[in-house]
Amino acid sequence: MAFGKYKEVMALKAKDAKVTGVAQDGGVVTSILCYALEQGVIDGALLAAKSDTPWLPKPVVATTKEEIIAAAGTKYTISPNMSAIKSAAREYALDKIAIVGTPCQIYAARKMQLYPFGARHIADKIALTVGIFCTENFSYAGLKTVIEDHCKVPIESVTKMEIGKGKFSVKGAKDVAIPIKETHKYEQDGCHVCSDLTAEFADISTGSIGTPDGWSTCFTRTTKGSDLMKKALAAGLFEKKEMAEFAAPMGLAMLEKLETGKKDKAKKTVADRTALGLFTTPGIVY
Amino acid sequence: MEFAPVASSRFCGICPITHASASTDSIERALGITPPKDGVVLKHLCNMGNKLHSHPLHQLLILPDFAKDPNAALAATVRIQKMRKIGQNIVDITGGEAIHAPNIRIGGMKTNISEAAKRKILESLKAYEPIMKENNEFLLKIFQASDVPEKLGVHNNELMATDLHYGNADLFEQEYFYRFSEVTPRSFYPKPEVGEEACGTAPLIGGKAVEGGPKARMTRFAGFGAKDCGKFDPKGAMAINIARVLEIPLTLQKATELATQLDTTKPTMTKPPEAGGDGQRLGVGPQEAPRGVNVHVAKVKEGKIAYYNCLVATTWNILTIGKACEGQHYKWAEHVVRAYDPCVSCSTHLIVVDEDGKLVAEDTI
Ligand code: SF4
Repeated sequence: MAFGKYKEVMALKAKDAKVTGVAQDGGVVTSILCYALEQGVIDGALLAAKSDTPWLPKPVVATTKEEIIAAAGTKYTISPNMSAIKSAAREYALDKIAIVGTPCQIYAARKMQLYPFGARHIADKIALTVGIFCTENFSYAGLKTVIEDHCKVPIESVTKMEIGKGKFSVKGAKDVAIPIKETHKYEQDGCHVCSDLTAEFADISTGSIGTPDGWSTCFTRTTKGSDLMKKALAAGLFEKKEMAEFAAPMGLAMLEKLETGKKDKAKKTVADRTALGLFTTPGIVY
Repeated sequence: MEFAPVASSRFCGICPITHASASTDSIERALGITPPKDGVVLKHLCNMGNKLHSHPLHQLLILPDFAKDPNAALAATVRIQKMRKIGQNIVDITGGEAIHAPNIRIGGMKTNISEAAKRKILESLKAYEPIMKENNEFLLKIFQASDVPEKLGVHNNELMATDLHYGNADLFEQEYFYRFSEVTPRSFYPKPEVGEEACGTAPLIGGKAVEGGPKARMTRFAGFGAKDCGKFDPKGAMAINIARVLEIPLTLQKATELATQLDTTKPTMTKPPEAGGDGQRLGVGPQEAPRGVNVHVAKVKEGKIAYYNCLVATTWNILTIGKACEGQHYKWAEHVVRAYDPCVSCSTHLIVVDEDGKLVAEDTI
């Protein structure tokens, strides 16, 4: 089944201007986290926030709406959010932690829940997982090279970056878009054996693929995720459209095409590595 | 040198916090550094959390000796587990882990806690109080109702205590350390074959065995005595159980004071000099562990441990425990051991042999 198991899929756009002003696309992550915090579903969240180095995210434990909003927006380099989970459970003494992360980070959270070795009194405090669609990711040095060498834009001037429609685009000292193909060699090696695009194990997963600018595609996958989303919709947090409104090649057709592409690529990479006699984690591709 | 607190805290899974604290304190003194005020407060708070769970745990061990009504015993067990959970949670938050806390560092505490975490600690301490009160009343009542001999475990060994709560290195140096000596158990025990069976070392003050722990602390610093002990002798084993009960409210009060006092915005670490230590200065870190005085001593040379020795609480007490078992029917011996320590194997296993080595009795709890 495409997109893993899910309960509902929809197109969403946050109504709160404070959120839409800073968010990457539909502001789903920021809005749902603020709402979950208000409702007491969570008492804090692990997020990728801005650091002093331009576009180098750092994991933070956000415990207020302001901190959540300040962390909005996609960063195209990995932020080891899970590394802050112990801090959240310990010196922040959070009992209901939300984790926002890439599909691989959601795996980490789920594994921690399944066998919490070295995570005593931590895994039981994970209250919500929000996964972000991910096609691939860059190391910081790789991202910097793409922006400064390929796009020829100083990284500190960049205000937004985006991947979509076959292009990697930055807005900054000037607005530049380069073919996404040029960036492939800077991807993290591990991403090449990753078969999860839509964060199949999160409570809620979301991303821009499949919906027009300013909107996000959103899956609810667990009872917890679905209940929370239903309440948020009833509270009027989002404008909602059915995915069927976006006909092929947009909509779910586009998402499925990219997802299949990612899974196929992962399978091929694994086969290539196996042929070379390299070790690959059994069952890593599906 | 960073490895010393990590390794030595693994002596014990019940009071690793006091080992890490004694270890870091001794190394800090050897280096001549002091942690920032809030680092000290946080470390002390972490230790109070440890005591708030460790004392109830000890009560769980002695419960079957006194609580004969199974329903009452079950209710006490539930209370004890609730208290332990709160104590452990405080250590989790302040120390980073309830067992083998990684935040206890040379130079203070690795990280401060959040204001919300501080509030949670204060709330949990409030929740601890009524449970503790009910449990303490229950325990004191069943102690007095028991048929344990009133003079069980009475001895005249010196009581050793440096502080009511944490441990005071200056006091230890002034009053005890200069009288300290260490001999092999073989030369300590009257029968060499007994000493040969013992492991470790025999630490002495003024050439004699001492007793540390709740009775020693409470006697010296909180006016504990005959008035608190009912029918029992204040120098005996039951006085230890009673002192432990009475110490918990004082620990709770101290924990509340410390948590209130903590400034969560201030630093908690003084980074130790990487190549510090002259190899000469002996740092002493005595800790008032739940069951006795836990003393670590260290010398550091250019950032590396040049000398290290630990005399843990029960190493001091075990010499007195033997003495305290004398003079009563053997069936009471395990009560004496359990009053001191829940972890030595003799608090849960008893064998009695006669002079010809024939087995007379055997018991496990
Ligand atoms: S592509 Fe996969 S491995 Fe790479 S960052 Fe995204 S989810 Fe993680």
